[in-house]
Amino acid sequence: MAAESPTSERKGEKRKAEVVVHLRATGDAPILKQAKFKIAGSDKFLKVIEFLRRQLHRDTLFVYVNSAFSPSPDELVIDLYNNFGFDGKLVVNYACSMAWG
Amino acid sequence: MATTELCSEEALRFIWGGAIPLQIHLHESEVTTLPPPPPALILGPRIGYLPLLVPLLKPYFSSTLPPGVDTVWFDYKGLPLKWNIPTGVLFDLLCAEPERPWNLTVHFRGHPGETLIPCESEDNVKWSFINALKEAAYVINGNCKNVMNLSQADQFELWQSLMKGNVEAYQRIASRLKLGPIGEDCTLKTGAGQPRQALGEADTAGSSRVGRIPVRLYVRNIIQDLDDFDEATAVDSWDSISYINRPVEIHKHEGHLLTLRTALKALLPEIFDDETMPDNQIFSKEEGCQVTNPSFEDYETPNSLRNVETEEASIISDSVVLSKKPKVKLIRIQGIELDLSIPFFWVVNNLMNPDYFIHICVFTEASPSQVLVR
Amino acid sequence: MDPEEIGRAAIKRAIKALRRRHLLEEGAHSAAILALSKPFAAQGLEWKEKAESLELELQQCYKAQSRLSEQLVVEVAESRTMKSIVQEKETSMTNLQNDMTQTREENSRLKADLDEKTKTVALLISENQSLKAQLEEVLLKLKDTEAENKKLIDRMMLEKMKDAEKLNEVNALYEDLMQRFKVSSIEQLARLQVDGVVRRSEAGYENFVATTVPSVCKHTIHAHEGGCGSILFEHNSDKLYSGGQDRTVKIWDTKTGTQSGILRGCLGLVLDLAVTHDNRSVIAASSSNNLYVWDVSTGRIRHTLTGHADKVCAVDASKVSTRHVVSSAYDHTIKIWDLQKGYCINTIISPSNCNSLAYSVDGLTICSGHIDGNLRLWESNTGKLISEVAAHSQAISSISISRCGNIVLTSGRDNVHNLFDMRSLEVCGTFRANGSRLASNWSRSCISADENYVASGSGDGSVYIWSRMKADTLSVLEGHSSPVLTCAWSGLGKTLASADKNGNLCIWA
Repeated sequence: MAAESPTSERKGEKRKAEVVVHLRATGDAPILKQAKFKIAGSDKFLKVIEFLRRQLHRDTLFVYVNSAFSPSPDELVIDLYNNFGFDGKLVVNYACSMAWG
Repeated sequence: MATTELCSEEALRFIWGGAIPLQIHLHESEVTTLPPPPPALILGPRIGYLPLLVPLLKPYFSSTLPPGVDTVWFDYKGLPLKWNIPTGVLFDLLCAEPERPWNLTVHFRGHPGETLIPCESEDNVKWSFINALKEAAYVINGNCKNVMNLSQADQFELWQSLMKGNVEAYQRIASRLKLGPIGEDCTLKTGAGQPRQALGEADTAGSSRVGRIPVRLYVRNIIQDLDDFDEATAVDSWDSISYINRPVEIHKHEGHLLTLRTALKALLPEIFDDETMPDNQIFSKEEGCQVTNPSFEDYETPNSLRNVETEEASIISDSVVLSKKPKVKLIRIQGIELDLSIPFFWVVNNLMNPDYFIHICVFTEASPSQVLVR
Repeated sequence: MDPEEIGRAAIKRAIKALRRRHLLEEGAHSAAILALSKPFAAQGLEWKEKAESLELELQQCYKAQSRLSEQLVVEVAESRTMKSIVQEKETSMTNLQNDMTQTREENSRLKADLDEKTKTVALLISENQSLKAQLEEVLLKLKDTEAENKKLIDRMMLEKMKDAEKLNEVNALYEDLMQRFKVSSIEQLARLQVDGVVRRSEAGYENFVATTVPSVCKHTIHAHEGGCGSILFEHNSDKLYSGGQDRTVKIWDTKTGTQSGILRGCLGLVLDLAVTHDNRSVIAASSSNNLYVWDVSTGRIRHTLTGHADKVCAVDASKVSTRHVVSSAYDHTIKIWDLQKGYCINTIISPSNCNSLAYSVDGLTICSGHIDGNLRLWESNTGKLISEVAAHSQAISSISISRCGNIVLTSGRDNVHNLFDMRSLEVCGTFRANGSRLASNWSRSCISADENYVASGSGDGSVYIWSRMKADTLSVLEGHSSPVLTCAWSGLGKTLASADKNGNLCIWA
């Protein structure tokens, strides 16, 4: 239960916490000018997806975390960050066609 | 150490065979015949997903449907149901007091795109399942190579086994994923490290030493101070339910048994406070209850509920004033309430869903003024 | 408390809870839901099949319906025509019924008629039978009469044969006599020439013969059955005609006393006879109101003169013309006939019926003797009465004019015979005799050709002959067995003939 522990983070900073999301294009998807964004940890992953859709003007979009899986749009960004983020950011891959099964 | 079975055959059979009796009504706006069709009675597998029932429902209602393109969705008391959540979890979460058969309304038109991801086909469900599996695998192993390395045929067979409820076929494929089971001597790694750290640990120290258990938590707050769940108002929005994905980190730890209580404490420290709810105290109380009231063993859920309530009451009596935390009314996994003293490894090995997540429904009681902790 | 123990108990409870969950959820409902859903699945198929079969049925039903509707249309049309036919038939039926009732009535009427007719037929049949019986009787009679007839014909043939023989004898005698007569006439001529005087030049001298009073009955002939009322000599001939009750006129040769012919056809009694002066025709007055004119040469009737309304009792022919004939009947008329034309040319009506009449020699005057006893003279051309004389106290039965025409002999039922001078109409002689009685109203007397003798038949069967010159001389010829009705003197003067009520003829010489 040290100060650096996530528990303390959860307890105190969680509500205000912002997560850096690193957006990476995969396959033939267009690359965004700005790749890194800050997003509230209490937001749902759906917000990231909708942001990408808006940016890319596409309805069909495949969004992955760590080039591995597509999380549920309901999942909180902070949860994803806590579980799968590293180097202080959450890596989100996006593609116009299905990239990873 | 006395050997406790890692996996209970019987429990597995119940998990896979579990199904909720559904009474599905066609929404009145889509009824074009007189008299309106009777509701469809169907068993919905707990580990399955609602869209998988469409092939059964569609022919049943097709004759009365108005012309147009179908986009199927369900609601319960006006709440559109998220199809990517397993049916059993929906039931446990939305029906505080189990309603059997469960009355659902099916819609073939007017999909609420705002609040619900459209599900166009079975492939969407499969995609969602496989991604959940990959996510779980990622949580467990730090990667999901095993899942991604599955051949299309194996992936298809895995999916088919889920749809058909075929445990043997599922286990045959799942064993190749090397995601479990975990041993009974696993204990909570106190103070979950940085994700990267954990990953690095997993890579360096090996899976045998440190493990993470993927858990999805659904926290619902019952606002009214009511004794009976029957009178609880229905959930009118998903916003009132907290959807939390937090893994439980475990470490090999000789001579220490990880219980559900400790796992939950680690997951939801906002609710399960070490100081207000010391393990021993609860354990002793529970044991006392169990010992003094052995005849209640066969009692149904309300009995155990009452146990919890009494427990809560005691908590309230001495600590509610001190902390304004919401009180836990009920914890439900796979439709059952568990003793908090149950070994967590058993819960993980036996009560997880085929996507390797443990879906836990937590009902809390809070005064209307209280705000749910996020 | 061992936490492991507690954990194990918790696991047990968890499994128990799972079991309870199972019992509450799928365990409790699966059976029912399966039972429901299985039929759903099965029913799905069944319903599909049912729906298909029902659709098929529906299609068939539609087809059937269309067929039925077509049929219906056809049948409606048919039914309409049938209805009209039925109506026609009904009307015709009523007509026929009316007809039938009418015919029934007719039938009953006809039946009644039939009954009547059958009755009448029965009657007629019975009548017919009786008539048949009568017919048979009549036929039998006919057979009898035919048989009789045959017998009579046979007898007649026999008689004829006898007659023929007699005729032959008479012919022989006649030739002999003719030779002798020729000799004697030559002698007489010589004597006359010796006298140097030819007397009575106006009369046909070659025919003139002095009359001798007969004394002997030369022939007695049974001439007519039932009596002979009229006899007459041919002019200047010995041939005698006789007519009788048997409705025939017979011709006799007085020399031989044989019959030389018969004239038939008269339908009544022959009451009087006349001969035209050329001797070609014989006229008979008949009780059948007619006159019959025969052609002597052929023996056929030339005329039947009709017009009288009662029996014709007297007839005479003109001595000048061959055409004119006068007749009288009991209808108070005297009719003058033209034989060439064959009909009556004049009718004289007299107040009294005329029994006898005679033309004067010049043919201009007709003398008639009437039932009132008067002698009347008439102009033959005009029919005017010239003069009238009361000749007898009773009816005149006979009038005859002498050959020269100066004297008229009348005989009456007062049994007196008077001679009148034709010019002065004075009586120039009266004859009567004891026993001389006229037998009937039509008893004919006669005057000899030389006007010297008067002969009359009597009811006592005798013929009385008076001489004009010697009034007292009287000869009586006896030979008849019944009253003598008529007598006639031959123009040749020698032969006197008489006939009686029995039909016998006596030829006297």
